[in-house]
Amino acid sequence: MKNRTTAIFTVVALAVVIALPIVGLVLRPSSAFGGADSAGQAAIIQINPNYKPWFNNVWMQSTRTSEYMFGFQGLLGGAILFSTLGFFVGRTRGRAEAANEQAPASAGAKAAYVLIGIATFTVIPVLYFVVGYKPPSSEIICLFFALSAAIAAGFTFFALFFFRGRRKGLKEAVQTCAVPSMLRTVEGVS
Amino acid sequence: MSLLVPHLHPLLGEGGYDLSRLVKENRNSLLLLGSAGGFCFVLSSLKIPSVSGSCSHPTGVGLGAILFRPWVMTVIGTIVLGFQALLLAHGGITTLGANAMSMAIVGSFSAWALYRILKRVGAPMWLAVFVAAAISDLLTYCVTATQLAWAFPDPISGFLGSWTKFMAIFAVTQIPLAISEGLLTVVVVTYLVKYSRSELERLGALRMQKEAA
Repeated sequence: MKNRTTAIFTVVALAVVIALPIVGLVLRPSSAFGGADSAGQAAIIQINPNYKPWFNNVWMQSTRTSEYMFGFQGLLGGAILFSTLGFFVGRTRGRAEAANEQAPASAGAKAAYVLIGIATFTVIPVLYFVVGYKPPSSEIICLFFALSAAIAAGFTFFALFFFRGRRKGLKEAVQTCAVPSMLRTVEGVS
Repeated sequence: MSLLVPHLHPLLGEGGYDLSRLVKENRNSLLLLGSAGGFCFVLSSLKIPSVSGSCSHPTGVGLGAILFRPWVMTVIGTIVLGFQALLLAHGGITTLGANAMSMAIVGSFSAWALYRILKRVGAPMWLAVFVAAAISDLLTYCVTATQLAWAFPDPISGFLGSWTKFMAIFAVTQIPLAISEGLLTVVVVTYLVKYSRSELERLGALRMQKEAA
């Protein structure tokens, strides 16, 4: 795919992904938006009124803790996913810079990304507590925590690993220039 | 349902072996493994409201199953489920076997098979990735509904009665989420193909794409 096509596709795809839940929220204003798993649990009790879960989780008692833990999961996942993506993008950039195809990246970009990350991390939960148009279900609180954490970690780690990858790309190019044929053989063997 | 746990062991063993060989052969595949694992982690933490009026979350196993072999994703998916069961009290420890069956095994194997079949037929990569990720996500929840109906057959209408009930709860909620997951997977795959082509080629992933081109 060409650069332009990729960019347009990304924007359209993200717009659809954001629009789908909003359509759900607008079409069903009176729904509670609880979890499908708790609806499943209700159905089990309806089918078999005597059913009791025969094992309960050892330590988790409050829903609030589990909401924060969902945020933690989003944070971990966003950090891992975007650090690898940042590394790949940065390495490509480093290679291009070494080949004099692109101007060097400014150090200001790194600071900007990290700042955006930290800002997202603080702004989104604050917005949620300020705006909250109706008491949302625990599931929606989970979504806010996980999404804000994932976006914030995404920005921050993308920036950190972009520059790491760029260094790697530059170093790679220097090595290949020095002893290209030897390096290729070594790579082929290993 | 916990009876399903023993069935997991051979697949987990196979996946663990695959995983260690993958990393030993090429350290750089650890990065792609991180992308797949991180994607799975993020997506399964997002409980998204659906048109049916309740919330559910995508699985995110499609990406890893397409990039690596499905056994590898069985291990990663089980790790994600274990994390949720132990730390988030979501899913549960006694049902880990059943959940791993639906998400980590059926999800990743169906994604892998669908991607292979569609590429063989000559579909473009974005379409193959989209269909594989979306359908595997939907199938995961169909399997969950079937497992629940199997465990809790309706006293009057039997297995089929409760199956339709559970399908209405899980599968219908999942339809828009499956579309979202398909789109997000295509976006990530597009960027990976663009920026880490060397790793993907060395891994032999997306090999079918070159044959078709």
